[in-house]
Amino acid sequence: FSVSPCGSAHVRARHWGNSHPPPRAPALPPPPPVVRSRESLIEECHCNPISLAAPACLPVDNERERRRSGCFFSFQLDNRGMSRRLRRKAFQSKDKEKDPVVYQTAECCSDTALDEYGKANSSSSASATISIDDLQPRKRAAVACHCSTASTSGSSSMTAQAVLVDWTSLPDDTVLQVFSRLNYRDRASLASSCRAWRNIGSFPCLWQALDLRAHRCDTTTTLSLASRCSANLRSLRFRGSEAAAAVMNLQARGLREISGDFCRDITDAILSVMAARHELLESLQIGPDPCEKISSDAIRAVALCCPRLKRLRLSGVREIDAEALNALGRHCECLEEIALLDCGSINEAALASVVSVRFLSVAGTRTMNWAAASLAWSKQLYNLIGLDVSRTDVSPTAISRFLVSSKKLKVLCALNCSSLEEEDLYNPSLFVSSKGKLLLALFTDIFSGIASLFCSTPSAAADASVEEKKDVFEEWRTWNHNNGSPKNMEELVNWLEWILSHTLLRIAETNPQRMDEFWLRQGTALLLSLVRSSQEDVQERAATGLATFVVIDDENATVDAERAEAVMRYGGIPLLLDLARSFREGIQSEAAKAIANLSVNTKVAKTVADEGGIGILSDLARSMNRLVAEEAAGGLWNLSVGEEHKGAIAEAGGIKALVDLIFKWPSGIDGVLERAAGALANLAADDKCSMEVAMAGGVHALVMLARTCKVEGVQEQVVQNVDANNLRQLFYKTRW
Amino acid sequence: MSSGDSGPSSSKQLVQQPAAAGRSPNQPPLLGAGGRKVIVLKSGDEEEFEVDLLDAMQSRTLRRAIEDGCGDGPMPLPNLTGPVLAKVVELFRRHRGDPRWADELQETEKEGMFKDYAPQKPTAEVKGFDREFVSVDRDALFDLLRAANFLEAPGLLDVTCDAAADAVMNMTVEEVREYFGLVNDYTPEEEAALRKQHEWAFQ
Repeated sequence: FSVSPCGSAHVRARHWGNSHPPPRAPALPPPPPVVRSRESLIEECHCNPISLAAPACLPVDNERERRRSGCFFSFQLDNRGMSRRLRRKAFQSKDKEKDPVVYQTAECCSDTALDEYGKANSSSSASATISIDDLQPRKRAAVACHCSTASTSGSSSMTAQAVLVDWTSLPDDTVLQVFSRLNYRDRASLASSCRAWRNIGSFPCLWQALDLRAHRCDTTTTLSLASRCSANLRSLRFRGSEAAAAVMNLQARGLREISGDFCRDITDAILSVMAARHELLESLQIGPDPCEKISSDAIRAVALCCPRLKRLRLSGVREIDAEALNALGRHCECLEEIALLDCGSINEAALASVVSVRFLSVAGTRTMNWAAASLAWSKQLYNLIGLDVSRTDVSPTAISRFLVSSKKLKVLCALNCSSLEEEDLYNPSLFVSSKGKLLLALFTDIFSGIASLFCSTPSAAADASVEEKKDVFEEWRTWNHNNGSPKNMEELVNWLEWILSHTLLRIAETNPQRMDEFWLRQGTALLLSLVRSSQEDVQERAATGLATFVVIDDENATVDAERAEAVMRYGGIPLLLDLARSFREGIQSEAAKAIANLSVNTKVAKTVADEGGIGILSDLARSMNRLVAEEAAGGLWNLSVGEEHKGAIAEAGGIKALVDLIFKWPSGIDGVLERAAGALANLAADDKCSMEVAMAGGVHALVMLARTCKVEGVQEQVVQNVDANNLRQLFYKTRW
Repeated sequence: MSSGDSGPSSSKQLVQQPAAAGRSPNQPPLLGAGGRKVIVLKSGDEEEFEVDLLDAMQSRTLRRAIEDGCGDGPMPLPNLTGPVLAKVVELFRRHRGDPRWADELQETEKEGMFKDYAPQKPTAEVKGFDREFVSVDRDALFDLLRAANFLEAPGLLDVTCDAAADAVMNMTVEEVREYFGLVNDYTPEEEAALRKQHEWAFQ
């Protein structure tokens, strides 16, 4: 039969099988309203005559809604008849297989039933739910037929909104996009829901990079991942030495990048096996925790096994001898970047044999013969473009030699080198003439320095104040884009971002004296600039840096007001909140940590609240990731100190989230519990909120904590609750 | 960076112009009073929308059609309904200058038509609009997702996929099924195997 363009009756007949007389047009079970915007709604009602035919038996708003859905329905079927029909068919056949009885009932279900269902549907709001049990059996069948879930048990309640769309009919590309925006847990849930999505969930492009840091990564995990990863995996991040040992079970021979952190216990054996199993490895990064168990033997093994190695970054190796470095020079001809951070000693002369190296960082090396190093490196490492000697005792003479005699050198980074800073006090003009080479130190203008790398008019760059230049890396990205992304510049800036984030975090951690000026003048802005980086690990490190540098006294949780306000002044709060909303859990937790620490300052707390931070933190507190939830709870704890924020936390559902946290991680994980209990203690001091705490089951949670938890910090927080006589009050309120 | 200097001001000018109205649909794309071209999109239910040519270029599908010379009459888009298209057109207007697609545009442009066009970072206002844009119910989101896929508009795809991802975040398998109205087509054995396979993600 043919379908007339506007004949809703025909369309409907087809929809429900044309053996039945079509009921009156307005009685269609209206599909969910598709567009929520008011303008389009009004516009549509005006422009479409069909809508005027709707009966005026409902209050104005509902009627509008109904009209809209009514006319939309006809559009939908007219124009998407094709896809709609296909979907229908698929659904019907599925339905038939599953429960033919119900299907038939639906076929012959009377118009009145549909009619009523339609009414119920259109008068209730889109999100209202009705229990199927409330309906007559025939209507129930109609609903069941309507909802393609076809769960015929009848006991489950489902949304009243009829599910007319079949989500599995979405194009694979689009679902893939959704998958790629989810973490592994959510991907697993989505993939487990039906076959179609399971297939999409194992598409190779979703498994090229794997970040296992938030998960327990042991042999079982890696074995269950092997089927998906063995052929596709290119890049892997993990946390902990146990994970490092399990990596080989992935059997991902094509792995190009490995990055591991918190690997204090990684041994020569583990690292050697890792290198031997992944011959195509191009980038190997273990750190920033010191790997003190690694010796030169493992480095030699890496050199022998991975001839394609381009980048090697290791932290905290005690001693790197000549043999290992010579092996790197001999076997890894593509090795362009070496970062040996916080190592004990490095054989300077042998390092000069790795002639392919273009970027070298030896930041934080404890013992080094700088005279020999500057002599050997500036002559033999003729490819060197970037050199980082931050946090060392490098001598001014060595710096001068690098600047003068290293031919291709563009950037020399020497942040926080005490002998340089002393020298600069006496002789500020010493490093001015650097032959077009850039020296980055605490006393130089880092922003205009970096800008001068790519900005053709350095004088213009120098004129702008720090305020204007604070986003030098953003500026760089624009420049990079406009100039067709020259490869060597991109590498240089990426390297700079990486070493700067590292050095700044280390400086923030050790918190040396006399750094106030640096932080206020450029350090804060630099960190914020790095937070915007395109490299994930740089972003995370910079956010951690922001969380760390404001805390000047760990014991009393003292936050430097000037530094915190500097972050605020440079627009850091909205930026961090934005990051907290990202889907990557690594950056979520670091951003939440930064917000939490900064919020100790009342002015910052107010800004956070004004920017909608309370809602964001409450959402994060519900996260399934323990680290994220913990930092978010810490943020709520700090915010709950302010009287004016308590109401907002309650409103955002923060109280429920906090109480749920206590139930979710009942014992053993004290960080979460201490923070959640602390926040609840603060909140319960407020009359309105204490009610909410009680309603959310807070009393039960706290009593449980008091009974079971043996950890001091948590106990303290619970006692605080009791001390304030809150608990009794709360208890009373629940009884009442 | 001359384009960077002139870009923002010229696109600002575009925004301030009053919307062109009352053009007969059969006219070829014209340079309007402000020097801008408009094309007409026709939804499946015969609703017509005027779109700035620049804005329409956000969609790869439309761009291809325009480059093939189909931009003269009203361009029929039978698988988009009026309300959906209305929303999409509004998003295109708001995303003017969005770097996500402006990059591509500069690569493909031929006649120097858009030389004054510089990408701008999405402002807070645009972000607010995006949030508002996807605060729709589930099925409306479905339609928008399909539209995004059909039109191949990166900005639209980004916004809608983000919304879909937000919606399913932290859901259990059962919740996902209920939310999307999916049929569980696994046998119990398969489900058990799946759970085992995905166990790691929950630890």
